[in-house]
Amino acid sequence: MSEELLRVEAISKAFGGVQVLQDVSLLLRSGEVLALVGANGAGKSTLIKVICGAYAADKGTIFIDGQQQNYRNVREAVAAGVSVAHQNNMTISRLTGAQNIELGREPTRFGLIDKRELRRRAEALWRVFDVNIDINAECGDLGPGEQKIVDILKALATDPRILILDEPTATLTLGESKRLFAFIDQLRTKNIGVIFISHHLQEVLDHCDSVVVLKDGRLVHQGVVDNNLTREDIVQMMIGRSVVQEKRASSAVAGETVVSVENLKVGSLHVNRFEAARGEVVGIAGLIGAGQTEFLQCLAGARRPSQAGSVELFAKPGLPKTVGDAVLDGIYSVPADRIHTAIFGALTVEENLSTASLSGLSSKGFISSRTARARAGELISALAIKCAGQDQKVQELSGGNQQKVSFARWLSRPGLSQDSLRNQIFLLDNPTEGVDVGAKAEFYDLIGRLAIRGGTVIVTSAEFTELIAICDRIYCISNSTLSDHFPAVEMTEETLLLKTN
Amino acid sequence: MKENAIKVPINWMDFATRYGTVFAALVIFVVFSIFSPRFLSANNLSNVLVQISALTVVASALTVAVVSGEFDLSVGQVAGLSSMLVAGLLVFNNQPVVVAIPLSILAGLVIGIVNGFLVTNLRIPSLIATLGMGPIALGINYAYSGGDSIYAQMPDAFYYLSTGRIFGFFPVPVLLAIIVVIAVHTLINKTRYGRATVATGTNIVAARLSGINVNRCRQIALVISATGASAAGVMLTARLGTGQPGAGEPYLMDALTAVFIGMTCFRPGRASVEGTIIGVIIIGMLDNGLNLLGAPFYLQNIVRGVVMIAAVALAVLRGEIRFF
Repeated sequence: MSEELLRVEAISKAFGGVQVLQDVSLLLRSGEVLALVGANGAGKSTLIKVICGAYAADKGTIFIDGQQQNYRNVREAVAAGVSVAHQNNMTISRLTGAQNIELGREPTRFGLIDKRELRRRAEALWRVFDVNIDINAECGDLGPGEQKIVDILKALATDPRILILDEPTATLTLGESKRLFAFIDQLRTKNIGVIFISHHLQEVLDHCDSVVVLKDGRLVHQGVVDNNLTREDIVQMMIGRSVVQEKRASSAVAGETVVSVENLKVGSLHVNRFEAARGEVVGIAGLIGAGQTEFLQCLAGARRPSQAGSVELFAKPGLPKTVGDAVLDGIYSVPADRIHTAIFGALTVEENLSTASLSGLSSKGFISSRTARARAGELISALAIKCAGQDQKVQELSGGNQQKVSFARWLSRPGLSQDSLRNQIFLLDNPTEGVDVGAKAEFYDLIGRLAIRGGTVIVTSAEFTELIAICDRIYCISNSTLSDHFPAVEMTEETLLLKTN
Repeated sequence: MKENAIKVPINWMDFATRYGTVFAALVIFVVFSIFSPRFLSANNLSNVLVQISALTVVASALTVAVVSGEFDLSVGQVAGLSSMLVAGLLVFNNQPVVVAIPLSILAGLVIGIVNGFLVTNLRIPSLIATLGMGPIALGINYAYSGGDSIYAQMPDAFYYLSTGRIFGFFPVPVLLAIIVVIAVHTLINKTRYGRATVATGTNIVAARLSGINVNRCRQIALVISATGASAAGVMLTARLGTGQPGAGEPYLMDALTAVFIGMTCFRPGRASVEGTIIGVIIIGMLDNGLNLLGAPFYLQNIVRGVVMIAAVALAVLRGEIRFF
């Protein structure tokens, strides 16, 4: 493990005047596992896309084996030996593992797919990498970890020298991750260079040889992973300051219970017991897809549970039947997946802000555009939404500002401009996804203020450190069951990870 | 120019995107004025306005459906049905005008309710639900009329809808069209319902999660669309003076084309009544102008198809609209 395999030199890339990568250089040796870390928006995915040929860099050069590369698209990059297993599961559930692995390059005989040859090739690959999964089963029947391995085998089927794994462990359980790392060790012995992207820094320390840290499009660190390197070091480099996560001053006087759920089932999730009080920020920690989104949707009136159990919201039994009913009861949700479920991209900032308070902004069915614009103006300044004006399309704003708009929609409702939020519940599903560090801090602040004013906030997050920082109590989803809760002060990221795995 | 950095330059690209279609309409107007001396006469222009007034009503109402994110492909047959109904009620049933007109429009309204039910309650995509509703309306039409035209004289009061003049000069059908346009414009842009419908048509999931009753929005939009088509059918019969079972059919193509042309101007990618009117005017001028120039009849069909495809291509290119 010494030969230079991939050298990236002084790559720069800008999108519409925003410098996403600036003079980034890195070195990958054969048989090395290189971690690429950085906060959201640091430029990791852009760098990966440049290396795998999806984007052309504005400046800079890529060398493989010392040879300068000029590939212009993904296919040429694959031919040069670069392959990527993307973050999302790309397997097709109705096809078998073998069929997935050979997808798009099936061997043919007389113009028809040669099934036997296809299986032979897939099995050859499977044998080389000594994977313990049934590649003749349909992918839909495999677990997420197994699907991920199929995905990686698919990337390996092109016989790459350089394999890029984009957050492979994001959706895996602890056990599945372990298998994946055993597999990565196999790759190491085959002299394949691996670029490994992960948000779980412990994985980086445990399994990678070296680490590259990106911050705001610049490379801030490349070095080996050894005992002297700690997670705190990496975080500090990622953020540029040390983060003693500021703990929100607990609202201390959590008032009476306003949300009480028992024995509710939705999808595979069983909510054994869940409670939240006035002035409290309650977190729900679980792996992505554990059912927290669906649970919040039930509370928001956007989904029916498969078993309603017994629910009381503001001492009123039963779940709201529609989102409209929920809103009338003072239950507001900010859904995850902002682009598809929360914002109206093609509409203006003002139109987005007024969608949830149309009745308050109109009389006799007619909207008062003066009131609507005034209210929008207040919200834009109150939440410091950065936009060119009320008439700018929301899809032109940055992720953080879009999220502010989708959140501010509820604050636009007349009752909420008052000081007291005593009878309001906010359901925030992964609210800081794709939001930069600065805007995140503003969100934490905002969530804290909602609670101080007597509101109840129920929040999920893919980042457990975030939950620890902003919540009073955290419920954990383990084995598809939501029941145990813990004071946030007693939790660390590790304990949460263990409890949810 | 750099000293003057504060001054915001006119963004010509943006300007062209917004007003290119209006400019195209002007070009068509000028070209026909030059090549056909009769085109520009007051008589002809007034004629064009009268001719497009019924189309304006269908297209404006259809715009509401498109704004809500739905298609209504039954408008042509619904217009045809109402046009036959009103003729039949007046001639066969000897009903007075004040009964015949509301009853025929009611038929369209009922079809709109059924369309809405199919789309929201049965969750059939509007494209398919209304595509199926078209032949059903045509079938009812034939069942009622036996497939024959109605040539008998209708009451004079009825013809007022097409030949009447307000203050002795302003054509009644044009006034009706203007009233519908203003009403639809107000509905979409000034009312709570309109705003909720725009939101529904832009991102239905986000609208639902904002507490908007998206099904009601879509239902009402489809009712408006069908009702507008019916009203146009009545206006059509008044203009033709006879009941023709197939007379409403071309409205589907023309109204859709007008809406699509409309999506290329003012706020590209968004359906709007202002835009639809530009579309109606372009279609009306092309029809009339090509006629005056003695263009062969088949050319009109080809031009229609080309204009529609071009409009959609432009709308897709400029705005971020998706169909289906």
